[in-house]
Amino acid sequence: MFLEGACSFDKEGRSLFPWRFVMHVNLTFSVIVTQLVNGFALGMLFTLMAVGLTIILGLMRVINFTHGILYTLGAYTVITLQKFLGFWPMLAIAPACVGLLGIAIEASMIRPIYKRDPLHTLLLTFGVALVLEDVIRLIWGDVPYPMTSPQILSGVVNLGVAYFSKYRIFVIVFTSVLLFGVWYFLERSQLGKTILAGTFDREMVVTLGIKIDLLFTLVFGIGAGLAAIAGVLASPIRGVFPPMGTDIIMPSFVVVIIGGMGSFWGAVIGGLLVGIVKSFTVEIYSPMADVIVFFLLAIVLLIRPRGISGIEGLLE
Amino acid sequence: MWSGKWHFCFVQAHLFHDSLKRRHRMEKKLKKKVSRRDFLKVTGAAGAAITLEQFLKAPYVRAAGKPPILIGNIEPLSGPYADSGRDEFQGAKLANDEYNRKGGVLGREIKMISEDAPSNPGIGVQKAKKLVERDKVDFLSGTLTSSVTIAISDYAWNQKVLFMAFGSHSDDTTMEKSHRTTFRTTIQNWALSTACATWIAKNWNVRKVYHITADYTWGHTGRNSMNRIIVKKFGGVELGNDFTPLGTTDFSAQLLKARGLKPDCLIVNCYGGDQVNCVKQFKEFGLDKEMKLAGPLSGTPMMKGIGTAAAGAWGMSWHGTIDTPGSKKLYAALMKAFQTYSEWRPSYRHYLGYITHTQLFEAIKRAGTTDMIPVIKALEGHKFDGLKWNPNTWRAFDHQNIQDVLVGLAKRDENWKSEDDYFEIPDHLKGEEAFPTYEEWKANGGHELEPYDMLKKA
Repeated sequence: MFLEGACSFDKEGRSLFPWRFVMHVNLTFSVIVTQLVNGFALGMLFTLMAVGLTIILGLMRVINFTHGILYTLGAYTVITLQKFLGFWPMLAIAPACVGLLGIAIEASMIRPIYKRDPLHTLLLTFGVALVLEDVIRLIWGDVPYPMTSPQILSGVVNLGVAYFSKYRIFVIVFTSVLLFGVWYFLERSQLGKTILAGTFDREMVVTLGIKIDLLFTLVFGIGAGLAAIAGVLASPIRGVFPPMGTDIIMPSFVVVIIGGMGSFWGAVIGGLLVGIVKSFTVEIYSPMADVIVFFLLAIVLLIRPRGISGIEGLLE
Repeated sequence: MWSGKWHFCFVQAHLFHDSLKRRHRMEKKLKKKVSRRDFLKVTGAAGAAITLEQFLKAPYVRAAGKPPILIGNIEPLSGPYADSGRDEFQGAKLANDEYNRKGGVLGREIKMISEDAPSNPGIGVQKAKKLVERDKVDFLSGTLTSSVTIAISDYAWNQKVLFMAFGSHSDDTTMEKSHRTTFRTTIQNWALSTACATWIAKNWNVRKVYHITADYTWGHTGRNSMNRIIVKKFGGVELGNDFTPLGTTDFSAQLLKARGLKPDCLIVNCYGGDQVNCVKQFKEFGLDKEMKLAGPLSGTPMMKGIGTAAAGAWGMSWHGTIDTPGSKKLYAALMKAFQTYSEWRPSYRHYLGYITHTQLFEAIKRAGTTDMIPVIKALEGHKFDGLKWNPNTWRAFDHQNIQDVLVGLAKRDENWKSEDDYFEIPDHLKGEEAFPTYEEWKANGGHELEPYDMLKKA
């Protein structure tokens, strides 16, 4: 692709490969700062998705393909209920509704097939995602819904070197606080410690007399809730449409693998890395922007086969 | 890539296998047979229901024994262009209903078979194949995405079926990829950009531009056409360009990059959901205070999505506020037929669907037959009232519909009054000045239409 681009010319005889941009990349200080902040904002959404995926994967060994559709449902909750309640309550209502749906999916469909190969749960969740996407099309239609950010967050804020979107700053702050909360819960609370213990050694947790089934259901619910919050946060930026989940599930899985399966901090670092690298690739050589994530994945896997901080023995 | 049908089949096969096992067990338990009488009852009832349904659906034109004229309509009714696809479908339907109410065309009822082809050329051709080979339609119409239109146009030429393209704006459709069997109603990028770029260069003094371009034929020709005016004619410069894949939702990095290069104007060669997100984010990052915004094409469906962030100068085909008698009449008819909620307004996509179908019917009337060659001859060079200021022409050498090109200024500020106010129309360019001449057409890869004798079916 690279060589083909470099050697072919358009009608006016210019190279299709934009040499002038490689030679004089416009990396001024303000551009670097804004792209960095922008990469953070992009990465935060990936992180939020990846954290949910990774704790489900770590504890339950379930490769959860319904995650993308739960994200979509979070966004659809907003466009349905926002008229009555406004934007802010959605940050609590959407994860509650979608979390309950997640719990229902886990209890009714995933629980009966835990004992089987992880491939079976992968296929099941994939099927459920397809069905739910069509249910969304039936209820809300195919047409994309436009969304606007709440009045107080529209407009720009001065970063010192340049202006930046207020809403995206809010996304960064809110997600950071939320992620800190999730980390605190996992690391400090008794329940969270049990979940982490289950991630490391499931048999031992069962042997100690903890009802692991209930724990699984809870974790699935939390994961679904995080996906819904990501959906709520993304809706004013990206609009709301039925296949929106498909656009984010692949990068999220890539983030999980880069960060290392089952690792909380791996997901956070992986997500931010993907966001920032993507942002800067657009700045430096934009045709690579969609491929770079997979290059990053390949490089990380070559150096560290389990990802940045993967847990030993998971799905191996 | 993960919602491909093969994955779906895989899952299906897996589930099916399990269900077979379960059904086997169930059948062992319930060994109840269906009696012959029960069977007759059920099939009888079903048969009666189907006949009744056919009877109720009976068309309101009772053409004595004559078969209907079948038109196969292909539109993206799902995906990022779903809004516009639905509008074109409704416009075409309005034309069909009008003619059917008057007793059809040549005494034959117009019947439209609709297919959904989201912006994917492969699916588009599949649907066209189904319409031509299985439904045996007389004409093909519709399509919005240029890549789909060109694919269907090639297919229609191979099958020797007349294809009336409503809404593909790529130059290629009537230049490099033109066919004797394809007519294109809407304005090609060349003309849209001539009108828009000339206007911004003169009124806003735009010389340095940055492009964000949808990475397919329509976006590419949009960018080239804008540069033809800004760079070549006015001596401006293109500071940069980013190709974005169709369906891109986040333009933040591209917009920040554009801001760093300080252009006079950002040119958005994107359409549909992509344009909505790009313009919204343009405002979100406060770029409206630092540069102008323009693009070859926009319309009411997009600006509605963009809402209060509406901005920019755009090329347009038609708008609800055009004050010619013909347009006012069409506007009223569309409002009457399709308005479902108070904010609903007709868009130029309705206009395209309506004009194309009425023109096709008029051509059939003039030709006195639905045979393709006489209909094509009836269309070529025909001058008609396109409901705008100056008359339209179906140009014979490239099958392009020559018409007035509008420049629309998008806004939604404190002076904003009604849902039609998304655009103010400060100017329009006469068709002859906007579209490429024969020499320009030829020099830019115009492909001479095939001779008539190639149309005779083998």
